[in-house]
Amino acid sequence: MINKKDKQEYDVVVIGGGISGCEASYASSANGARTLLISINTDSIGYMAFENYILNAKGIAAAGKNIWDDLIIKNAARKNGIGLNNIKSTKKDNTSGMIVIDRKRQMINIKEIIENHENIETRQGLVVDIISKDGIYHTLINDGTVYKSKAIILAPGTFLDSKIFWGPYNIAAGRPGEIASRRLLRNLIRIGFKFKEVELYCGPRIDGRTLDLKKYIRNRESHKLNIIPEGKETNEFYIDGFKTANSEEEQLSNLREIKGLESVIMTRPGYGIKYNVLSPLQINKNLESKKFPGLFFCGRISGLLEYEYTAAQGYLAGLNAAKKTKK
Amino acid sequence: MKRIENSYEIIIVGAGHAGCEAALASARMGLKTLLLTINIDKTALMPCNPAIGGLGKSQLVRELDAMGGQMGRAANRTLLQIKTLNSSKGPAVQALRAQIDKKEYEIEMKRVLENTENLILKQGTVEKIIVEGKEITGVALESGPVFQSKAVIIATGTFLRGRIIIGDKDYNAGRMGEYPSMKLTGSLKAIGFKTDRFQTATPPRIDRRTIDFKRLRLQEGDDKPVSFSFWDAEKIHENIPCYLTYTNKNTHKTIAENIEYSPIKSGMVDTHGPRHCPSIDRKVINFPDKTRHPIFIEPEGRNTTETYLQGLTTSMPAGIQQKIVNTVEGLEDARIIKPGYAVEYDYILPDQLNFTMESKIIQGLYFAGQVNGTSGYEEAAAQGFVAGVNASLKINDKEPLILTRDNSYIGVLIDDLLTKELFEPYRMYTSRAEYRLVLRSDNADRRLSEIGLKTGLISEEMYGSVKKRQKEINEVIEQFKYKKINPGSKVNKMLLNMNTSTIDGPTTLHQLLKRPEVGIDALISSFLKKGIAHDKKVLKQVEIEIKYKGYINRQLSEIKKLSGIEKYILPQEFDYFSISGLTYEAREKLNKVKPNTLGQASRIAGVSPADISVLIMVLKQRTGKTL
Repeated sequence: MINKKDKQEYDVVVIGGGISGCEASYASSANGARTLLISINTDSIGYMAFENYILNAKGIAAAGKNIWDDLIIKNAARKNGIGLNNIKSTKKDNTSGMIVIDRKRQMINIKEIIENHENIETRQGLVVDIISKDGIYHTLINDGTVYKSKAIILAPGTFLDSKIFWGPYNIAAGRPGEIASRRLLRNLIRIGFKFKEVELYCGPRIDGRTLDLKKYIRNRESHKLNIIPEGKETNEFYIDGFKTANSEEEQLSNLREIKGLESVIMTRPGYGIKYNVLSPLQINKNLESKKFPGLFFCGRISGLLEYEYTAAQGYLAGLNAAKKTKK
Repeated sequence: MKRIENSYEIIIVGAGHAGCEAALASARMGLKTLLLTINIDKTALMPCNPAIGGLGKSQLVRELDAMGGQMGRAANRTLLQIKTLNSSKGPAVQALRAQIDKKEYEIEMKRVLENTENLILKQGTVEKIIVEGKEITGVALESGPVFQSKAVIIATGTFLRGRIIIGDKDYNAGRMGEYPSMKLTGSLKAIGFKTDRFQTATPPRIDRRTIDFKRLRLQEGDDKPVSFSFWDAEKIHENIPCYLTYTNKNTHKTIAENIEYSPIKSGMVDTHGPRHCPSIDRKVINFPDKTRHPIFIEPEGRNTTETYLQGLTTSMPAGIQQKIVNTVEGLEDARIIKPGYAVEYDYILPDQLNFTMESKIIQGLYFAGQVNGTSGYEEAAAQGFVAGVNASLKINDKEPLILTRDNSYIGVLIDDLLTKELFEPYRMYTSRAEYRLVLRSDNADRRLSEIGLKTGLISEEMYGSVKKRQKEINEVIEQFKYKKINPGSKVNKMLLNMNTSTIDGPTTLHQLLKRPEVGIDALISSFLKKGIAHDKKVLKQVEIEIKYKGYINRQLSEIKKLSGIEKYILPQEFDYFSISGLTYEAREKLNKVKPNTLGQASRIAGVSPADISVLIMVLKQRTGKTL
């Protein structure tokens, strides 16, 4: 049962409800720390915004042990995996141990796991600042609320003052349709953190009804794309390996040159995203800030990309933050 | 680079409840349809209460369903429980209300959209509409692509220059965490559309694990659920409960002490918000004598602990929201996950539209849903459907679909939107309809399925089932008119057993059924030895038709009588809040305007003919004055 006292005080506050933030929250609470997970929109907790598959990264280790079986992403994926049989179109050399995930079901499921963990609470809000005062961290939300904690884990993913772009177009966004987090980055820079801007690309999505899958599979040696179903209840497919931020017209005409995709319709264009990651040498191997003990970073903000690694890093940050609060 | 064909017949902007119905209607009518949304993942999202239906709204959904709309079926497939409201009252005010699993609803609606022929769902933010002369020719996205079409339906909800407010903080967003559409309004205004700002708000969501359920009243769905849709069978579901609690003096004190932080007082929100769903701040200001207000506690879905607090709408600062919640019995330890918030947005003045939802100034440009100044998923869906059907009919050179006040609540909705001045977002309730004994939730299929058949949105087979039922109803009514009971000791004993008076001459079953205390089942078992070979739905309709025929006629003459209202002088010192039969909106408006005559009262936006009837009755009781 939730500790009903001290509604505004936690051992660990996790900022960001993506894969890394979820693993961090889970590991932190599993190690005895009362944990608050803050997300701009709690509807999106556990959302995987880029490719919807993970590799079965059995060997992944953190803190000296194999942790793959402890990760939510893996356990939820086992439940929400669509299975390889459904995606005959994938590249041969890349499919070994790959789990394709039903994107929406996975999100609902990860959120359910998080919400039902006795030591985790969730909160919707946009974090605008973090302040260290007498060994206690204060997390400020844009609705005026302040949460105190012994440690903070920053897992804002691609949301720090980010822009998405394709063709000549760009708009401030953490993901398509979602607002970015701007003030937090300014305030992190103000207290001395250094960031650099990086780019990442997300593939387009297509309407499966406009795809000739058989023809595509017959000719799959001629190209390097994976066409991956988004879920069991949707006709959308994700185009993996088609990293582009070209204009929609260019993306579409490139896709239509592929056999089986001659009359394809894009439901969502591929896009690039410019976001901010920590410059090197500011955190130690425990993922803790050198300058601000108790402040941890994990996931895409640290420069990592693949879900398996951002998940593992979240796990490690959660574990270390929980340990720290016990001292 | 090859030139891509970007031509459609109908383009819908926005994939909320209005947009989804519009797109489905037009694609199912055979038109090449493009549905555009800022974020496909949010298709058919329910941003406020986790429920569909309710008083007045249930009728909209059933009417939509009767004509081949999707909301009733989607609700039926994703509900957590369903309830017949007002089951002890007359059939005119009965309604269905379903609690919905929000995420399942999104998945279901998106699945249906994606499997509909002629329909393409696509992500894109519309920057401007393109017109040639006085005709629409397409839309342009912010990201560059241009799509041509013969018709465009704008269904943008709260996204046009949306701004979210919590306490003294605000930022641009269409819904929490989602960026708005900042440019489309400018394009509409440049063509000559008049717009204004409205505001609506949503209550906080709390963590189910922090609720003390032992102290709340259980609110279960019906044991024997009926289907929300005429076309789908009842869904076997888990009957997941809701709960009821109340605010108290402490709650009201906490609100009163912090009222200067309420955006309605602080000046953060100066646009009009919905009176029908007033924030708890406003309720406390307007009803200082009321010691408590109900709070319904409703699950947002099976898989989440997030729980909705119906009745506790507020956009006060988050910390104060937390305090307010914790004053309520059973919520002393409740923790807010999502603070309540208000959203302010552009809407177009709906008097710029025709009854088809097409704009008067641009041919082929339609508007539907919240962008027309309405509130509610059901109201939005109804308009989306009408816009989608009419856009399709027009392209196919067919007669338009015009719904009227005497055939549907949807007709009432559109008529009100077009003729009354809006002071706040419009929502439907039973009291808006003057023919509500005719426009029932239970007979929407008989009223409107013919329209569904003509447009091709329901099949011959579906329509046949309605006709068959209608025939059976007529047969039984005839049978009841024909079958005479002769007085006698045995008959009179049976009548006394039914708690009704004896007869002293030949009497038809029809006459007996008119008696309020006599039910159709008892009549059949007593006087029709062979029983009757029709199902319960048919008998229910027969009973309503016979029993309420007199009331229906009387209601029609009541409405005629309203022509004398111009001469009726109203007392100036009169507390309209004390008349419980009036809608909340009417009470607030009447108290504010203090009209001189009933005629003036009847022209105030928000005061319906039904409110005037109530007023006449109450004034007669209190002052002895009649029309």
